[in-house]
Amino acid sequence: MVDSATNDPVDVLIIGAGASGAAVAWSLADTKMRIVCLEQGDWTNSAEYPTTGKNWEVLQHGAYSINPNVRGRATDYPINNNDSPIDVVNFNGVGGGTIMYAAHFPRLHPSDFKVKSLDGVADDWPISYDTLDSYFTQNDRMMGVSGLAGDPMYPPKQPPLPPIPMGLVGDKIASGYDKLGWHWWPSDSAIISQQYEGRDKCLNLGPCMSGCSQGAKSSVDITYWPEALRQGVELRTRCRVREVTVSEEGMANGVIYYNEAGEECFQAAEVVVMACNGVGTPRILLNSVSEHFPDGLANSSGLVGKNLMFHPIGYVQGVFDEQLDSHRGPTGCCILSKEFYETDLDRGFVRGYNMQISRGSGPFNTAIQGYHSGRIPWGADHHKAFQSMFDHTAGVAVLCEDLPELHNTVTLDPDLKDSDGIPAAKINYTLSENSQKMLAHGLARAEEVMEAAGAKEIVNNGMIRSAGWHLLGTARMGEDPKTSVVNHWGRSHDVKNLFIVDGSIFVTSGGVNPTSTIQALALYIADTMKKNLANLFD
Amino acid sequence: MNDSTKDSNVITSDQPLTSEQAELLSSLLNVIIPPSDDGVMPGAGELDLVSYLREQTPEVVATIRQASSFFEFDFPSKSATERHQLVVEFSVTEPEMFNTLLFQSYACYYQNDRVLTGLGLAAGPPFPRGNSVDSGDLTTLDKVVQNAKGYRRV
Ligand SMILES: Cc1cc2nc3c(=O)[nH]c(=O)nc-3n(C[C@H](O)[C@H](O)[C@H](O)COP(=O)(O)OP(=O)(O)OC[C@H]3O[C@@H](n4cnc5c(N)ncnc54)[C@H](O)[C@@H]3O)c2cc1C
Repeated sequence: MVDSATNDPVDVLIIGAGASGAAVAWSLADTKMRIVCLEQGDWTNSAEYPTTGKNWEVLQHGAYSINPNVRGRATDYPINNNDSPIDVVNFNGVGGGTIMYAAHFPRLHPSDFKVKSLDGVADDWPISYDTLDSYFTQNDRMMGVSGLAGDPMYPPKQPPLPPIPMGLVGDKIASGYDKLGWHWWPSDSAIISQQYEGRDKCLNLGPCMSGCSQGAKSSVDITYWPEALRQGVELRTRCRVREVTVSEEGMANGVIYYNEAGEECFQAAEVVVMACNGVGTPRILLNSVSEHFPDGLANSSGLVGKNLMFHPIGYVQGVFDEQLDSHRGPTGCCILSKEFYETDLDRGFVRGYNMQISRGSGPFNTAIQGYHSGRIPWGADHHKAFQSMFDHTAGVAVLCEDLPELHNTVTLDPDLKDSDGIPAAKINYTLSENSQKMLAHGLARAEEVMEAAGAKEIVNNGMIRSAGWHLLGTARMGEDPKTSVVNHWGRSHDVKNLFIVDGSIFVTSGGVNPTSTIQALALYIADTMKKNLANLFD
Repeated sequence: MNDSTKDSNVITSDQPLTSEQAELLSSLLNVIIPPSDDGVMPGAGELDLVSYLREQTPEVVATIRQASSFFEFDFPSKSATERHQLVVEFSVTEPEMFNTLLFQSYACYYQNDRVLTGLGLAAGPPFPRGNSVDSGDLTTLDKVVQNAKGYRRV
């Protein structure tokens, strides 16, 4: 085992350099503590992102796939999705999921933190929207968020930059919402619509989900990390953590990881912060078995890896006579609707969903998707069918709130392992009856919007399999150690110097994309740690 | 050595197909994406597939070669209906290989500058050129604000 001088004990060891790890590192940096972050992946280079080359669309099916099992980089770990109708998608490297995210950046709503009190389901969070309000604002500023103030579906907020352009797609679908008298609003997007903090504005390249060559998408490798590094945080890439180790007293005292050469190393630490996302974090905790913690670390409640929530996503596509320039502009960010966000039991389900308008694909993906859906044949009719689809489509993604259920889990796969021999994550997930009803309702409403907007053809694609991008709930927060893994400021009930700051601590999922809330939570936890430095472990 | 001195029936790293294979493949690709009636869009077989294949992995090249080996060398001289029928049969009997062939044909086709300009798009990759997008019409949002139920207070 390598135990070199560089592995001298550190004050704070963060595992994972993604959305939450970066925010925590930056926030804690001003304490002048010695902070090290271990990340299994590499830095990415925007000059190598797909849109710099002619084969930009093709790479999305291989080296830049959102699915780690397809991408298969040495820095990825395999995920067994066989017992789930939804595949986990992610990115493993500095920036984590934000390298590939669509950057749709809504916050959870105030009601999302109180679902038990309001609707009698799941549990209330131990904190509220108000607890996070100032951290949302701080995070919007640090990331660079574009949007429009005044959305009646939220308490007042002011995005730092004006909204990104809606384009013809936004106009068209907004006209449908207007006809129906339903809510819509320009999306809050972690994409800069104007020059900001030395970064140039969005060029409307299109495929944000394979990395932004322009650097206009706010991924944390170009927002938080440069600032954190300047302030003295050390970030070590190609370091894959196998387990968190504990002292005889049952406190975390470091981690065992593999470096790029595959050598086993030990890094001692006073405080360990987990930021590996809702799959990566339970994976390491469950793999950290010791005499003190035979069922995995911080798992006396038995809830590590349980209550996995994804946000089931359904997709409806409309085909229009008019040219909509669909492939131009950020794919996943345009406008959204919160018309069906809050509970209305007359709909036959509890809680609700957000409708996210998305733009269309480039030429290659239009053709290949069209072939697989049977809408664009090869042969003599190819050009005609292609031209009626390409740049003539708009999509509505229905993103449903997923409620926590004990049987939806992340466990350690008994057979599958990553390249360092660490057990892979195994997903067991079923769609609840409530989610099925919600999804059906949302898909029907999405069809209605398309019709109102004048679509000549409406294609209901049902639930999307490759859409497990929101990984939540697998080490939930709460005040009671019997029913939660961490307390209201992310500290493990069982191990007082172990913190969790990523999406696993969500109590419920809300019905919106989670990263804005994940990062606000991480900033809040870091701030609370700073306020309690003198008695952090009491 | 210039191209004319090469033995066209020898496969080398910069010549992934023999001339007979290339001719067959070109004909096959023109069945998958024929030229458009108005002549604006080329057929997939008119493009420089050999250059494209040079940039692909050996596995892809091998699959394309294998796929084309399912067809006789007189394929190009058959009638359009016969060629179409043979490709349909191939897609049914060898669906996986057909899907790879189709994927690569589309990939080669839809990144080609002639095709992109035929579609009215700019040639080359999206970056650094970028695209322009209209800001959109926000005027109806006043109505949205008036109609909205508002967020649920807690
Ligand atoms: C294609 C795609 C689209 C998305 N679109 C959106 C969107 O529009 N809006 C939105 O809000 N969210 C979106 N998301 C989700 C978003 O990326 C995540 O919510 C967010 O990144 C989660 O932050 P995190 O800190 O919890 O984890 P991550 O950002 O996933 O970071 C975890 C990091 O931990 C590292 N790690 C894991 N295990 C280990 C280990 N054993 N040792 C060392 N390092 C390890 C990983 O390599 C990774 O870098 C999308 C995600 C994807 C993949």
